[in-house]
Amino acid sequence: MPPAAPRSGEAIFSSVDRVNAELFTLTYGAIVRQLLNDLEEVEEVNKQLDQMGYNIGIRLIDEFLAKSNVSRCVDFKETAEMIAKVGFKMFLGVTASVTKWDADGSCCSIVLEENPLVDFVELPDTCQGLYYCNILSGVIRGALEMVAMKTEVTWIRDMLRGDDAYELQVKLLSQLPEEYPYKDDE
Amino acid sequence: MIGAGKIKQYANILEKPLGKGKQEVSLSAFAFLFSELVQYNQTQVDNISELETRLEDAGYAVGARVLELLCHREKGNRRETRLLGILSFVHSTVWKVLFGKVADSLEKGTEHEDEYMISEKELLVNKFISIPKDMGTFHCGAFVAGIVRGVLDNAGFPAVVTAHFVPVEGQQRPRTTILIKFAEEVGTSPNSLASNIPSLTKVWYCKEKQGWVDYHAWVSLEFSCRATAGREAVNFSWLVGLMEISMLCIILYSTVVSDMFVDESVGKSQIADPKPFPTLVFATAIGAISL
Repeated sequence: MPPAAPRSGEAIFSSVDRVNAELFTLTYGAIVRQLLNDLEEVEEVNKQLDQMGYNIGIRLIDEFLAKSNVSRCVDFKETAEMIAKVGFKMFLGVTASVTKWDADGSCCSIVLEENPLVDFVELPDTCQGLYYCNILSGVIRGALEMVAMKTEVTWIRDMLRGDDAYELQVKLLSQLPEEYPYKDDE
Repeated sequence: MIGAGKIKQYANILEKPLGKGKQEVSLSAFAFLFSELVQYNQTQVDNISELETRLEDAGYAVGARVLELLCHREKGNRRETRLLGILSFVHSTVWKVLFGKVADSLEKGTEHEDEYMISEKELLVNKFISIPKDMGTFHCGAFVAGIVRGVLDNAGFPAVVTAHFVPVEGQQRPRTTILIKFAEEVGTSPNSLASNIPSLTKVWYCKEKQGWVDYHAWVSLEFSCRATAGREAVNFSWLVGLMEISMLCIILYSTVVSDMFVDESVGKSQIADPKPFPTLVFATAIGAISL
């Protein structure tokens, strides 16, 4: 249950401006197509999508914090819940779930049942190594880095490759110390 | 847990149902994505016109798919075959589905017969974009121009589409105009036909001009359009149209053509009894020809 003071993903999603998901899906498809045309190597495209996601994530976190009114998360578990319940809902309109916590609480899986990025998409045989939604892993990585958490995000399950859901593994590598933009003794 | 059950896996993506198109994402998600598209393309080009071309090519792919999707979902597998029809399709249906509202206006160019303009106060894609002064006339609406070009091109109306800022008196931000200049093979009248209709329809269209009943053109248009769409198994409307043609032919025969089979010398009493065999042959022949 979302706490009372921060807003739930549903409430934020209904208060922001929205656009048709199909425009979003088709634009993303155009981006992937352009990348495949330019770069030709599937690994390169994966990396570029991740980089694009990173660039988005470092700016997306500001909007997330501004709109959702969350207070500082106590631990990584709460962070993951925030991403899955609030973050995905307010930007993509879908809810994800968090599963498979490991023993020390630094690694979890975010599972997406539906994904607006992949409507109408089928991977051809020539692109079987492509992580089509890799932009999402970059977004999460970038957003968490801006709140002082260094993470590694990888795909475990991908529906385009025949699995039954989308599963992202988010692994906390380290907490970065708070850095102030000015020196104390000046 | 999410959802009542697992999502059904489809063996083939074509078997998956299309969905109603009501799902939404936040505007900021789209704005972030679009900004990444523009930024990526900026790294790949040397000048502004190349950047606009790349954005337009991205939009072209979107437009082609949007046309197929909307023709199937909104228009029941019919496609527009006339110039004015496709323009109002773009202006209302496409705009409404993609951007949530119909475009502000659709105008015909006064200087050139083959130019049309769709105007919009502020394009959705430009909402969070500001163009630095040194980029001159660059317009991110080139993406939307590409979408329009994709729709028109795949509907059989090749055109050159560009996006321009038009300053408006009294307002700080200029309006955006999407300028559509049709290629020469598309006629200039609002009733011009799409250029990718098979020739069967063109023959029927000429006959329509000479005074045959309107629905002849309708029947063959339906038939040929569905044949090229390649989607529907059977279109019953053309069968119905065929029956109507046959009945019309029988009526025509008995009023007009039967004169040929009546001996002048015998007189009027013979007209009441048209020969059944020639009637059957004639109706079958007409039916076979229209197939």
